[in-house]
Amino acid sequence: MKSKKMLAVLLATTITAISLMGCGSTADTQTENTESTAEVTEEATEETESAEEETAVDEMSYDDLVAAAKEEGSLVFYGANSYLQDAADNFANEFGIKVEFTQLGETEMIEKVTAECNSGAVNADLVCAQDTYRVAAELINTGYAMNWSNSRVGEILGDSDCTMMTWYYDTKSFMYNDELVGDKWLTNLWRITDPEYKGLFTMKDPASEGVNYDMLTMLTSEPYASKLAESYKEYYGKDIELTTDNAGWEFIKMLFENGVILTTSDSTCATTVGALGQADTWIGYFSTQRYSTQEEKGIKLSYDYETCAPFAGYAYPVYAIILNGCSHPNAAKLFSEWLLSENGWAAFNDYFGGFSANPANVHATDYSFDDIKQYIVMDDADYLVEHRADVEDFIETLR
Amino acid sequence: MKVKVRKFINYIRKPQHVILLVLLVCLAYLVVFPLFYIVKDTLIVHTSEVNRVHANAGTLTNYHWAKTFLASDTFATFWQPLLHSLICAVLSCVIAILVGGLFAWLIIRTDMHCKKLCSTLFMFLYIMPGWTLAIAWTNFFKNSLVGGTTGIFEAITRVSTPNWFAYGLFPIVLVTGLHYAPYAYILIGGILKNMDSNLEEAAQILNVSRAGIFVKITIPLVKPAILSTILLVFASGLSVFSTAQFLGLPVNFYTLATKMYSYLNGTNPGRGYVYAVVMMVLSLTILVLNQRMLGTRKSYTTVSGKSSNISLTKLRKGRKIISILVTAFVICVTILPFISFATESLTQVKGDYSLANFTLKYWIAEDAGIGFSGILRNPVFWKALKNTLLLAVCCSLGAGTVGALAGYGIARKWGSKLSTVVNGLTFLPYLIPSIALSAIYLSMFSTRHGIIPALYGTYGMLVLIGVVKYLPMASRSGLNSMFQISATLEESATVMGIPWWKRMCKILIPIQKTSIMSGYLLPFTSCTREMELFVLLYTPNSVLLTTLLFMYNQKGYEQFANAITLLIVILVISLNALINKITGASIDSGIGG
Repeated sequence: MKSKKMLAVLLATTITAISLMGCGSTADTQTENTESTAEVTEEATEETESAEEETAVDEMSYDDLVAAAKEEGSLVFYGANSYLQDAADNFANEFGIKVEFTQLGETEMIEKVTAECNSGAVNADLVCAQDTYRVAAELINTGYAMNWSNSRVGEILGDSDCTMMTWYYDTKSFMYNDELVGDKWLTNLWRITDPEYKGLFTMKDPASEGVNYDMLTMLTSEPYASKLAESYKEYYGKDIELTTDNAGWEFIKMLFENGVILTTSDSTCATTVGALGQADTWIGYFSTQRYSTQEEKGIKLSYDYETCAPFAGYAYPVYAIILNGCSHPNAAKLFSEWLLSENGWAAFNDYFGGFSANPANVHATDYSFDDIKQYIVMDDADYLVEHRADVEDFIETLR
Repeated sequence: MKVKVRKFINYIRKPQHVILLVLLVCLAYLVVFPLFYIVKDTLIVHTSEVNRVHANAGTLTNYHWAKTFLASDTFATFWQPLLHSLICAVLSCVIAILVGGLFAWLIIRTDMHCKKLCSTLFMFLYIMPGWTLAIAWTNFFKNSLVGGTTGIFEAITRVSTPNWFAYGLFPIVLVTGLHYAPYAYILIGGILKNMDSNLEEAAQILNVSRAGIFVKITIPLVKPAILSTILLVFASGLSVFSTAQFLGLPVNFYTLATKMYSYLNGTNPGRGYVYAVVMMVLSLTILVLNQRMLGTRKSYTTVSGKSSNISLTKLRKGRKIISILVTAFVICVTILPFISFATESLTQVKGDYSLANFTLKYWIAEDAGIGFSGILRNPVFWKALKNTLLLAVCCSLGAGTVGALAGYGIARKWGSKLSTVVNGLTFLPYLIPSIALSAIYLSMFSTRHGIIPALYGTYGMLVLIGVVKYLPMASRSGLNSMFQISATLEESATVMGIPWWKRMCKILIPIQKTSIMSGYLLPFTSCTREMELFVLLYTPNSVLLTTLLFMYNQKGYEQFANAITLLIVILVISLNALINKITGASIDSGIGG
């Protein structure tokens, strides 16, 4: 009998130890959560009442929002950009709200956030995500994103619905090393597909960078596909012979067939293209921001928006999305609104290639977003939702 | 009725029965259920697939299977990667067995110099994460194909490495094979050590040629070890991901694992799960074939009687040269990678190895650019270090304890149906690719299932998956150690009326102390350097060194990535050495038993 009892004890402690550990820490985090939420719950109930009124009348005044955010005391958010750490610090200093920022890869971030929302243990209040397609499919359509509006934001952006609030536009550009060829060399994008320059183009693997899929998908849309067809004629002196639906698809096909070198990061692309003393001139597609760090990295990069036909880059919105069921909704709302302000953008003043969605804010480039819109491909959420899956599948067959 | 009840009570009064039953239930939920879950995941529409399949999330669909096997492009998207995977797995096995086997023979059966040093360094190959060798390979042999600066080899010799050498199949197979060669070394070495060389001497007296002895005696004796190695390496080689990704991407070389990753990571996870199922079916086939060939042996490693008589083959003239060659080789594959990580973490501009370009800022500066402080000043690093150690301790305690108990239960009931089933179940997690297992756990534990709470976001989740994934190693070493103890020892104690726990603590555990400790050490080591298993499941609060490294790699912060790689390797090796010193347990005795 004795041995049986002992055995029971031993088994309880060992074999089930796994699940106990699991439960233990769940309990811990849950108590923490409930503690922190307990304080808020009372207000939250009031808030939901007042929130209903708000949508009817108007949302909280700025001062009320600040007060409510301070009451919550902290903010947890995820983002892909390392500059956000400075923004987080600035926000914390300005409002005395504790900010916990975590830098994650884009794909990982979406996976984690959907898992959090699905499990009901929502850790993040807000995410700064950029892959329009996945944001729409996995955060907006699933109802994980909080539906809210703010008229002050509306005044700046022209749309007061903040469910999928764009707070800045980031850009990626086609760049090359001008060491051998000087500037204004890349005059036509079709050079990338020219067999003469085979194996001299590099970009980050779209499978680990959703916005690269987004860019390639946009190429298959009008008017970009037609523009590509025109440039093809300029470059090769004859009309494009289509084996696919349009010049956009054809461009993708030829790009892969011409031996694109896929990498795991934009930085690798930048050093690949920019390394000094190479025998060949490489072209790469990566974050415009890398242009500004070339001296520090000892590389040489160049790009010409105006010379390169039909376009030389891509602009994609970066969204601030608040999650339903998060612990600090007001802090998150304040943070979203604040990101559009001068102080909110301050951390990004030197961010080359980034443009605040608030046109009043400064930009590190010597051109404005409006200046370059005509030279770059713009992101279109509706088109992406419809067509990106096809482009992904098409690319899988080209690999 | 009463008889039945009494029978049942009698049955569960035996601890081995209780252990096996509890394990059966737990493993059914944690290992078998996920298998069904994966299959289910290949048949439904996931939220990210709504716009692709044009159906509501959660509805049944044959889309993923049809896309994989019936679409016009299946050669490029499925069969070719499958072929690559199979070639990789087979060749990795060959390399692991050739290198590991030869090394085992040299160390154990010859009079080579520097045995201790070589043996220790050789284990580094296994202790270091597999992909570190891949990174080191590109650091050295990168050529102009991928642009940028070329590797150290070309910088020194001015000779450009050919593409097949620098990327794709060749380096992937070589790196994977070398990484698992210590398996072969330990398993084959274990047998060579215990093999009675009288057998060979007898043949020698009968005038059998050297080759004849090798083919007719040595090979059959080490066959079980070779088969075990094949099983372990094949399953690992099939699902090797990071190495294939690093070395395959530049030349468009894809395997099932890298394809699976891009589907799981992209917007067609259902198809990713189809690939996972295929990989598991292949591994299972190998397992079954392996069992057939092994017959009904007691364990994978067969100790054919203790021998005190090992005659060392004299290398004669070749002794010096062989010793130098072997030592040089081992140093090349273990020490050089360290040097390359250290160098890369210290250089400001990549590829420029002049003194002025060296800086400590990525280690200690307050501001090392891009908004980060040097790695040793970065609070996230210290948090990750703490988390990694804690997780490794938890996983090793969990897996080691469960593994030892499982070994006990299985060994005591060897031959019974229950024991066979549980034995199979404890090995099953080894065959599920890490990425697929973590993706399944992510969806399985992100919502509440009956009494099982939603574990996602907790530290317990990481511990749970770690324990399950490392159970095969721990239970194998537990089983081996229990087999070596004759049941009579325990039986005499039972006759004396000594309770079970006392029998365990006073008899079984003390006898097999080092072997059981090794059962803890293996999960500990593997956990410290594991990336693929945790990368989907960690949360910002439970960030680990490897997941931090993954992020740095993704972002291209190369100096930070190299610094962390170096630290992980040093951490793992020094912890191993420490545990070895204190307890006498070592990884070698864990796998080999």
